Amino acid sequence: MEELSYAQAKAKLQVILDQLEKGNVEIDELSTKIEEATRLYHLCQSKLQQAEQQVENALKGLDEDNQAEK
Amino acid sequence: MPSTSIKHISLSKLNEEIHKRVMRIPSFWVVAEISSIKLDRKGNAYLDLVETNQQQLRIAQARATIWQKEFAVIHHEFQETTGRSLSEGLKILFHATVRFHAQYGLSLSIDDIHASFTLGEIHKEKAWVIQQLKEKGEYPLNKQKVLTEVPQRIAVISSKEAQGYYDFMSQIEHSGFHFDCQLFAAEVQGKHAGQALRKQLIGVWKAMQEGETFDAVVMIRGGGSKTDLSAFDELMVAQAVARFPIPVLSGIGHTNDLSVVDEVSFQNCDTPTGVAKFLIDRALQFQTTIEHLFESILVQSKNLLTTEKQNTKQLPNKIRALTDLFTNKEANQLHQLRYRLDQQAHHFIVNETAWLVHSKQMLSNTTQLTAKSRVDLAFLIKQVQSSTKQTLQQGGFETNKLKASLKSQLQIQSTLLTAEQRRLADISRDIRKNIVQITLQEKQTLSFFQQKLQYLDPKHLLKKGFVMVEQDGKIIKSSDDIVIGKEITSIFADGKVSSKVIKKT
Repeated sequence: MEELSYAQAKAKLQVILDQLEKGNVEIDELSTKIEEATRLYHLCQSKLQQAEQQVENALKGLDEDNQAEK
Repeated sequence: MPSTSIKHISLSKLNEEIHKRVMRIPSFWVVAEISSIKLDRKGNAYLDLVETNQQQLRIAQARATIWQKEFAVIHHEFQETTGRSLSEGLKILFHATVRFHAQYGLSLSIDDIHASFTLGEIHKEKAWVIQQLKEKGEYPLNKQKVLTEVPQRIAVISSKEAQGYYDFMSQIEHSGFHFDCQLFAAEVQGKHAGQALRKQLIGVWKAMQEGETFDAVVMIRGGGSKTDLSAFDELMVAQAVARFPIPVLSGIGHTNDLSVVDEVSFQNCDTPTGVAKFLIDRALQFQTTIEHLFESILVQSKNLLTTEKQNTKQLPNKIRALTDLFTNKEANQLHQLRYRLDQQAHHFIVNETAWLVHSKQMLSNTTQLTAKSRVDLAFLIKQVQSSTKQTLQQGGFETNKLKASLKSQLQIQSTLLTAEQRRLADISRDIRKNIVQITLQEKQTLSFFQQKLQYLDPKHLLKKGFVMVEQDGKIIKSSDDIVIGKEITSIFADGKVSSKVIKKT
């Protein structure tokens, strides 16, 4: 299965949380939903950290260029 | 034999004298009670007549004869009027002539009986018996008993050889229904009929005490003669019937005869065949009711099946329609979500692209500026070098002036470079600041989600001591949803417990 994007994972997480909040989940599905929500949460967190790191690296390169200019 | 001087007559002479005198006695209407009555082969009736006082002591008695030629007429008329035969115990008003026979002595010759008088006496007697029963509160007792819907176990009190018993059993046996009849044979005519009837009622009661079960007692009297119903008017018989613990059905004599037993019995059916008809009708009525119920069940079952068939036929269409409705709704929602997602993505891409273009432009500008500065500087250096060389070649004129000019140019360039570097640093800082802001916002969102998830995870609540209740695979959110008598499962943090709901409080 293709890995979800950050936005997709976040949207799915939002949907599951809404279902849990409204109580529209059967007992048999409950644990599966919780597990999936937790997995999506970790995926989002990981993707966010990854994006943050990439931006940081990019900016660091820019800084180095600037320093070199000096 | 010695002769005597006393004047006397012979016995025959005396009887002759008595006969002569008796013959002069006129005829009378006389009231007396029949003590006994016998018929000889010729049809002459010989009666013993008595009169008793209030203490039932005899105060007079006489013999009487009704000769055959009068007896046939008198007795027929008497039976027609009173419904009874001339029999012991009846009080009669008769027309008699005194007769004296030299050999048989004094007697009465009856030539007429006033039957209406006896009828009145019988009615008086019956009225007295009924009054006694009412005064003692016994009159309605048997009528208050409850008869089973289909009485089938029957105790029959009758004479075994009587036509009435035969008629009753014949009807019962040919009814097509099963009746369990047990005969308690009793003579229902004659002097001791009353005692016999009472004895057999006691016999039925004893049988019940010993474990026999009867739904009703049938008391019938043989058909045929209309006479001799007196036993059923006796107080002791009527009392026994009234007080009997189960319903007594009476069929005594003909339809126009109403004995005291008929009055106090649970149901007066007039005749033996009337009793049989009553029992058969009840069974028939029950059978008809059952058949109607059965037919009703059949009709209702058919209707139900037809309805269910129709429902079943319509079910696929309903399912299809519901499925379509559901899928359409879901597709619509998905479409809306997709649209929103596209919108958001587009918005995001546009923003991000704009920001990137802007950043790129800024970077490009900065790079161009630095490149231009480098070119300018190189050109300047070259100019300076060239000028210096030329000046040196020209003899070293204006050396100091050139130096000053160069220095000034270098300072300007240096200032420009510093400014550009600051601008780049600012841009970098802004980018970082924006990124930090975006990531912080996302982190906050994720943190909020995480908290929400923890809050919504039942394990979290279960660990705190809450219990989740499930019935038929569904989480119970309200006590109203719990079905009494069914099993529920209580889910704890570390396991499940099944229990049965007894009541709601």
